[in-house]
Amino acid sequence: MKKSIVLGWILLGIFCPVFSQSTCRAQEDPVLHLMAAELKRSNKTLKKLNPPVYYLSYTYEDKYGQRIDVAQDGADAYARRNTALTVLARAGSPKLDNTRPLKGEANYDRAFTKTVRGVDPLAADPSAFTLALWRSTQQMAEAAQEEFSRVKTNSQTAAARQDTSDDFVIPPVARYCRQQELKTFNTEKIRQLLLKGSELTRGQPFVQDSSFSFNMEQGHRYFADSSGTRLKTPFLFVRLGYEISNRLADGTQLERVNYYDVTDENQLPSEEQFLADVRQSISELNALSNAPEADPVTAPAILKNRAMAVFVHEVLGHRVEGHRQKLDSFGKTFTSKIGQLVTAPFVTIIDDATLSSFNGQPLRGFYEYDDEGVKVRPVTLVENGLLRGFLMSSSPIEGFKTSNGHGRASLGNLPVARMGVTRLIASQAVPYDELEKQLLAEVRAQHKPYGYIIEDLSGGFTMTDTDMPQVFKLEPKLVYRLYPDGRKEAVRGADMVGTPLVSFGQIIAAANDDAVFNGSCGAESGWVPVSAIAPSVLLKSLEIEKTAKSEQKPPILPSPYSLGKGGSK
Amino acid sequence: MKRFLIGLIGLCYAGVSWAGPLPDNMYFRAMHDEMQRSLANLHLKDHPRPYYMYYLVREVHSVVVKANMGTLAPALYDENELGSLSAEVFVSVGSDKQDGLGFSDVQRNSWEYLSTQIPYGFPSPGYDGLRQTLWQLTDKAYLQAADLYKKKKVYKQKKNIHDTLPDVVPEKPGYFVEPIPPFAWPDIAQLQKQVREISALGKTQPFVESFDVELEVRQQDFYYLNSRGAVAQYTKPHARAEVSVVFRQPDGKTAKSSTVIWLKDVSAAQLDYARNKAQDFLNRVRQAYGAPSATAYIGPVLLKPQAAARMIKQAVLNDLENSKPWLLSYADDDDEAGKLYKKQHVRVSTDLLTLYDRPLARQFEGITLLKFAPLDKEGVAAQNLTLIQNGRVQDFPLTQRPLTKNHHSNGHAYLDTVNGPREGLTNVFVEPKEQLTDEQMEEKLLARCRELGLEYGYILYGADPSGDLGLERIYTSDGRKETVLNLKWDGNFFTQRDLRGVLAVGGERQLSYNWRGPVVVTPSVLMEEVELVPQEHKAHRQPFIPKPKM
Repeated sequence: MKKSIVLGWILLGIFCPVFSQSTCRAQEDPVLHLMAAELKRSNKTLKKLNPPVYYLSYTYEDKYGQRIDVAQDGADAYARRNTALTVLARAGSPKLDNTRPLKGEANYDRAFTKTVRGVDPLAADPSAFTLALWRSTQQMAEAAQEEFSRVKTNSQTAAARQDTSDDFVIPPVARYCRQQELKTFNTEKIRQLLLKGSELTRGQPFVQDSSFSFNMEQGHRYFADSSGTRLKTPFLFVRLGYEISNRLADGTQLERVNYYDVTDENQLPSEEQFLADVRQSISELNALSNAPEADPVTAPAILKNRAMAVFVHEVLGHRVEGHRQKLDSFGKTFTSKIGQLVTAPFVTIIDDATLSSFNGQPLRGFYEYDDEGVKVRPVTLVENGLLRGFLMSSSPIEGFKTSNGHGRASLGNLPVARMGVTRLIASQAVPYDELEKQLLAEVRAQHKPYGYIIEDLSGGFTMTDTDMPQVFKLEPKLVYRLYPDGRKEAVRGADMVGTPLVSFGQIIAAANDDAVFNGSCGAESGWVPVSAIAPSVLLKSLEIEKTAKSEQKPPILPSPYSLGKGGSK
Repeated sequence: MKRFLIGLIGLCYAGVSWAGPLPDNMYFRAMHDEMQRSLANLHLKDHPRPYYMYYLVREVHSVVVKANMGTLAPALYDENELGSLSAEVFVSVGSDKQDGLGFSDVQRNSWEYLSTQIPYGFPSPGYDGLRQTLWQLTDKAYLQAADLYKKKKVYKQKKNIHDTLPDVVPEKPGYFVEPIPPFAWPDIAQLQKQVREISALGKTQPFVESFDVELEVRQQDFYYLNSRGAVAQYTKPHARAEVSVVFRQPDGKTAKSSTVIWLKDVSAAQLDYARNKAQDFLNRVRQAYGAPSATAYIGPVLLKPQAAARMIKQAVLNDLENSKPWLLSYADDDDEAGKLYKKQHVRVSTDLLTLYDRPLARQFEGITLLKFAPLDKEGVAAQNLTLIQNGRVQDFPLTQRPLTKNHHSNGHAYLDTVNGPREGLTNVFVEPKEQLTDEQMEEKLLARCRELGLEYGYILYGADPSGDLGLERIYTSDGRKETVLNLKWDGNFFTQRDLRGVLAVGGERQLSYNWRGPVVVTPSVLMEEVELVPQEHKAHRQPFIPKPKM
């Protein structure tokens, strides 16, 4: 249960290179200059050590954050600059180094990086930054040597590896520098908008809690390594959104969530649109609060576009992350299936993190260079139903010896292969209305009492290790039953479950209504921003099971708001 | 009849009369309205209603400025007009005769059952938002209280416990209201300049790898209301600087230490004071660099105020708190319960010192005492206490939970993060019988060492028993001092008997603050006998990458 893509957790948005920006020269950048100087000084010594510290990288992030939170009639706001430096050291050689997973031993407490926060290389006196580089390099070099001796022993005492590929391939040298001016938004106007949205939730007995927020994070990421790569890339994540929730007497948690990822103020929804969306979410929460509970069942189902995007991410995406293919503890669902049919022949799946927007919507999974300093490339994962490739970091696997720029991590973690912008493309597609008709036909043909329409998913998880069942579980937040007579009925408490090979083989049709899901994905290398794009699809069969419920009952007394606006103020 | 009674109960609860006029602000309006509604209407079928509750809302404003080795860190403060709010909600069910408190059924922090807090960072609400939050927290606290009440009842039946005392003896509700001034934003540019300069002191020593200074200016505002009618509104502003150092000893070992400098405010004079204190700290680092390792020692030790505070807390203060043992379903005895309650008027200490607890003291030499509390968590007006005088135990902190038939609270119920609402101490002052200077205290140490034929004695500075800067050897021959390393003081094993072994008390008093337990203001204490044991010492290789030039 390692991976999840959770919309509700996401505070970020997406960078889109449409702003005032300029190219720069990596050689002249003062931050990269400090990092390069310290790398040069350290490298002289590190390569001569026994075992040698053969690779070193520095990542520095300079981030300006701005946030507004609104709950009920209150608002909190902050604007803050955060900086962090991460040092990663590899000891041994690319063939065998300190990062290799240990067999039969705990791996969770192994540290390959050190992160120091609050250092500023742009200060008048950057001594603290230089010292932090030196101290962290020293510490991580020592740790890498120590860890390497463990790995070496483990490789001799534990069972042989099935995939004997090297542990690392040194990334090609890259030089790239792009800087971007900091964006400003009218935060007072946004605060008022959020307060107005929050105001709509008051007095609604079925809205137990609500939160409205605006979050902007922007800045630059700097990367330098001992091979000579020097990178400076900007990022900008802006998100406006809200969550409203209710808890029923039986403990069922219900929520409606809506987010707007933008890169410019003029992309924010108008007040009319925003308030209309809030009203719609309130109406949906009300419907769910009065809806019947779903029963465990298999039935044909439509996964609406955004829900399907999450499905692709969870069910297929995590299983085609390259580094997992050589882990003997990994289920290897697709490892040996290159060239084989894994889904419908009209389905192609790519991961193209070079896409910054889709149909005008920013994609938060966009990036230019991965966290190992490798330029990202589009990867065809499935072509016309046939498995073609894997997402690759700088950890080679059999048949795939180089990175395609998908080594990703949040600061402080060792990068591994991760998704960026994952897209399902259907070569045969029909209008969505037609897809619903096909669903009805399928319901009738299978003599089912109803089919399902999964309108919205908040996230889920998938299990990929061999010591656990190879299953996924996704958590729909808005589900309808579609009866043979065409009637739709909201249901609550329905989770989607299944196994990857069976589930992906269930796709029988797709619509032409591609949509974007922006989220954050958590795995062993931390939380990274991702996007997924998909059309709505029709599954011949989908298994639904009951959702876990809270042990808590709803509050005994009604909300003070139900006494009238503002309680008895 | 039943319906009539229920209606009557609701009516009674709705009619709380306050010990004084409620301040006219949204905090009290929200607390008042939600408390009245909860007392009147909150009821789970087959469970008793809440009969007592309190709300405590805390608003915090703070500015933090940080720098290391002359480089300012990015800003850590929010220019947020409203500050951050947290709320603490406490609900009890049953009656004064029998409620659900004083009992725990799981081996964890019992307060989790009884109070609910919202974390800092919650959006600062107005009336509506605060009331909504209180509503949610009250519901949770009530359900927990109802659950615990039933469990306690079952436990007492099972153990055949028949109390002769009620669970609560109510006192007159307290009232303390003072105006809350707006948070005075400091001159941040000036703070940044000063903090940067203080941190740059670390660059003067080549073996120092990090010299971190974090200065915090904070104001905490408290709004308290309970259903017996107690009302409190007060503020606690304070300023402090924490200086942390990392340095490498000649044998390669990395050493760390830190000190807290309490400030009256952030005026230029106080920032100069902080700079001087930081320089003193750095001087001690310099003395510790390359200092010799010491061998085992048993003999007289002069505990400087930070070390003395730790000893006094361990030896006696812990046992003056939590006098009433809790009923525990998982253990026969309550280990947290204080051991001194049955020793009132028994001699437990030297008569060279007197211990007071002063919850009403707001400052010590201009520095805010963070445990200032005009009312306790039960809303009872706090009283100053004389804890130990002439070597004998005098007063104990007491709550409304009776220990004897003629019990009266003295306003010392505190919801400690671990212990729940129990008898607690606040600002403990150690007053010496005779005024001695620091020099006189050292003379007394040397004199005693000479009597014992010792070559040297020790002066212990820090509260950290294994700190790298905490120990100084003083030679009887010439009074020369030298810092020594790798000698461990186990500050956790002092007992009441150690207070009898005090030879002298005096010198400059200092304030010592721990995250748990009381603030202690004490001078130095000369102990007849303290054991210092060698600490395992592991050298480390020198860095293979040379330190960059500053």
